[in-house]
Amino acid sequence: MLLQVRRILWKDLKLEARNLPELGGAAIFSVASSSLLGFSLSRLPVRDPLPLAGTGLVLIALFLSVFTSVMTVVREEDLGTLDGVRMSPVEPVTFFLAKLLLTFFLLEILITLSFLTTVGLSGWTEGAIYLYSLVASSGVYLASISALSSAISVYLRARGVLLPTMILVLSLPIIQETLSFLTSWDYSRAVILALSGLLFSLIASWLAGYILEV
Amino acid sequence: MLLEFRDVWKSFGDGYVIRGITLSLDRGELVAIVGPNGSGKTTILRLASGLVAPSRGEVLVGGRDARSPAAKSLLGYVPHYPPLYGDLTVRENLIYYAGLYGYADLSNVQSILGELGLDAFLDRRVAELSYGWRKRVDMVRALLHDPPLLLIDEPFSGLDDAGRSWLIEFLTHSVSEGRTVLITSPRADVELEARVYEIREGRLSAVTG
Repeated sequence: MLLQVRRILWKDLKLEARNLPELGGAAIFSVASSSLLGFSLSRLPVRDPLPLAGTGLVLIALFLSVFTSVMTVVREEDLGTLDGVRMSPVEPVTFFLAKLLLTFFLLEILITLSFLTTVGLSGWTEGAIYLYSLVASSGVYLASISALSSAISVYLRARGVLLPTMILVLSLPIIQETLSFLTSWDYSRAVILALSGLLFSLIASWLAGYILEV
Repeated sequence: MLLEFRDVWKSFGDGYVIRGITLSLDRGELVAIVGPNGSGKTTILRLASGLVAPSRGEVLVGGRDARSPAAKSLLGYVPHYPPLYGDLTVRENLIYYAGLYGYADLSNVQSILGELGLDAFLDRRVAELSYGWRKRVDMVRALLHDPPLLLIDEPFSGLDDAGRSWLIEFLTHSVSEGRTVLITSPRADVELEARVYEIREGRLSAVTG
């Protein structure tokens, strides 16, 4: 199973490397939106920038998870290659896990890019590492929501509207949780976010096993 | 029996596309299903390959549910649209799919690659190939794990004379060696010695054999 996950993931990374406009578009969004955030932080008379920076970065991460959802299962469906996997003896869960890992990998890169742009442009440093630990940890949860929504939307017609809506609704608990942790200054909160993300990943993988079967 | 349809019905919403099909294919048999466009030929192959589930009845491959991984490892399916990655080379596509069946290289299909003239194209991106060449690559993809059951949707579409001749010879030879082949064709003349069935409005009727 792990070997097959690795093979699918390796193929996907190759495809990402050769399909730079798509990944580049997501990176441009990431830099542009966090530039706005960084600019706001540097100009607005905010005493504690953590809540504003946190809210901004979480929302950017949410948008990014919509982009990554289009780059995984949905893309296989659009390319007509999903059938190639489904007609092979690969278990749907194995395929989903590979997509989940790809989503996580892409999302963390883009979140890191957003964070660095925000910090670089605002010059704000106090609490920045704590914020990064929270947002990066929530990436586990967002990645599983993004991959699960991608799998579900294979069967949807109005994908363009329903996919972002599904991601927004499913991610509300983690967004709320992340925002409420912003002022607690407790690094163990980041661990809680990562663990809840892992738990949701397990549930999503189990569900995807049924969704992607037939 | 290697492939069995037991009173299979399939609907995609309104009404049935497949209506109570019962069909058995033993080892070393070549069966052709002919019929006009939209008659349900492709649906039969998708049911056999486990890509869609029957609404009623059973589809078994090697005695197992066609959707099970064990059944899928027994079959190779060449659909009308090759499921290949345009941004990967022919070699990368084939090695990827071989990996999904547990093979690390292309040793199983080395001779077929040569016979089909694909040796020269191995390092070309699939997006650069014509439909006919993609179809050849997809034929190789379906044979990567040397399956005892081969399903081909309209095998001759997009192939030139050389490809057509190779395929006729290959299928005839494969069947003589015990491989079971199920093909579809929009034309009654299937160009192969086969047991032929006609499908009309989702129902099968024997034409020959």
